[in-house]
Amino acid sequence: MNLPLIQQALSYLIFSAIGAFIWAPLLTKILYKYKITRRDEFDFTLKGGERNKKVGTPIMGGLLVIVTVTVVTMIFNWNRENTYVPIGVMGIAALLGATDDLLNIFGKKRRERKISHIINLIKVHKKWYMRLWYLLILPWEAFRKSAAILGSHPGRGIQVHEKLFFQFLAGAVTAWWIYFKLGIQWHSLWVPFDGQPYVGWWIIPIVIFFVMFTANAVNFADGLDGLAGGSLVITFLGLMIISWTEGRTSFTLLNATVVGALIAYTYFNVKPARFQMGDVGSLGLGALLAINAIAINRTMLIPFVGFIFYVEIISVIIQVFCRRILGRRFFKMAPIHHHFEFRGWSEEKIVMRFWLIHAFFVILAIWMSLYK
Amino acid sequence: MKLSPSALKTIHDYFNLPFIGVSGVRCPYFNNARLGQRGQLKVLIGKGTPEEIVEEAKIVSIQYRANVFDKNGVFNAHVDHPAQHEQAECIRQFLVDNNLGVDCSGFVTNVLQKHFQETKGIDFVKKLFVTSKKNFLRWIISRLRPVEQISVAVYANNKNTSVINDLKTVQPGDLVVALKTGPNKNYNHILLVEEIDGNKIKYAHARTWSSEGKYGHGVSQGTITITNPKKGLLEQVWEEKNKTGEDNETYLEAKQAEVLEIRRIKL
Repeated sequence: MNLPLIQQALSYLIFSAIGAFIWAPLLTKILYKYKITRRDEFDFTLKGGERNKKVGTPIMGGLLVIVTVTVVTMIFNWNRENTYVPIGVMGIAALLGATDDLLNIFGKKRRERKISHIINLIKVHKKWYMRLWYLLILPWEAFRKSAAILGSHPGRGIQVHEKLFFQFLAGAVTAWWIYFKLGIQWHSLWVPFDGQPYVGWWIIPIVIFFVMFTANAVNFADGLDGLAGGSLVITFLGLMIISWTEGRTSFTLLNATVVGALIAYTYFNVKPARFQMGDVGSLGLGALLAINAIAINRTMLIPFVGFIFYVEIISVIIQVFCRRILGRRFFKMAPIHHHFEFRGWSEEKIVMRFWLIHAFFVILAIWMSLYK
Repeated sequence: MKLSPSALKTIHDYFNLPFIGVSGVRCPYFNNARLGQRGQLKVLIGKGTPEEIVEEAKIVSIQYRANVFDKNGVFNAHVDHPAQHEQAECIRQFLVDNNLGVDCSGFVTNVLQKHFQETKGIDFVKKLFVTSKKNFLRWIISRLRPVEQISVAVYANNKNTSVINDLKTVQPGDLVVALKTGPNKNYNHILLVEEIDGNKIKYAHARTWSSEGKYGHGVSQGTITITNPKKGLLEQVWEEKNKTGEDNETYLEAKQAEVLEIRRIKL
């Protein structure tokens, strides 16, 4: 047992939590001052009754974690080999989320042009360079149209296809780092109870998939007070323990830092929330979750350490599939936490039960990780 | 002669949508042709069963904070609308405003599905020919979402139905199909024969009359009294909502149709 490492990690955790607690009031003040608050227009997930009270609550509270983790890591745990890329990718994802959050509040409604309209313009526009331009943007517009099937409402923020593009970029950076920089042992994928089969360059699409999928999964879970925050505390605590048992110093400390900041965040986020995470936090921390698991070669444990997030995103996939292909609802509403709300469960009951289920699967992940 | 009890219950449910504590909510008419929604929920394109329409109304009410129903699905505005018919009208307006209703072929399909399920123990929807396998994508869609693909034209297809020429032989479950009707001959319509009572053919259908305004339309019932079986369908007496002749817009539509036939499902 490497006790000095866990002592050091706990110090990071405590320091990060205290730091986050100290500047949380300042963040709240800033969010209120600039009116970065939840509005009811374009937010179809806000329900009647109790849920109406959420209108006016600041969003982008995830900045508390993102900024604290970045600052603490850059000062005390900064090295090119380990923490450089995770923090960078978390930053890209968080920047994407922040842009989405801000555009949802201050942006204008996005104009949508039909594919048939673009095809017509390619045929009839009187200027040749405009015809060429429309021809060039046609594949992107087709991608936009097909990606829009995944989203229920376009809103004013970043659209689904743009999100997918930037998340792909974040995943590609991570894959590049894993495949080219971390060494040959990362070309083998650890599989629970089955050793480390060689996967070679296949690790690249695997990494991109997990980064994109996990970032979106955490994003979907950020729908009830305390749900994403509390679940992420459990997840990163699990990752901290796994990193510690693997002897990965930088990642143990990084995960400990995240846990500390998340404790402060969740303290303010439990019902009634002082602020909400927003895409800035959920996309950033989702990407970091995936990278931290991949970087300690425990990629296959991500569905366990991120269990509740995966349940949430899979519920959305099932719902979209059933709605678009079969023409019926599978859940009353997706993500699944809204389904339980429709069933009459209180917000607290859903959150606490989800935490407990999630904790069980994180413990399962820790147990599995101990088998080499 | 009547349709099977489960089919009659479905018709009854369309006329009294099963909302908790509120009776008399008649299902509005909704046709997706105007909105042209694709890949949408069955119930949002005018093909829903009464139960699906009620369930969706509750979800929409909660999701969009209309507060028409509480979380248990009970109508909220009892105080504002003390009379039952006012409550029913309030819910109907909510349904119309949220594009919840049924179109003519959706109504017929959902009723006949129950009828054949009970009388023959089959899902007749799967027996209908929608498109050939040569049109593979459409064929796949018709397998996955059968009810949504069944239009009046499908019922008018000789592969699915046969023409009944003798008015005396009309049975419950037969269909009155009007093709290329309306002033512009640009839509089709279908009526379902619900009951034969002596010389009266009782039918049910989903349609909007121009005289019904924004909120008055929906499923309705009427009769065709056979006064002379040797003459055509248009020579008989059509009555609906106490109106006959061309005041009866259903009759007018039948008259304007390029093709007007009575058809029976082939099974």
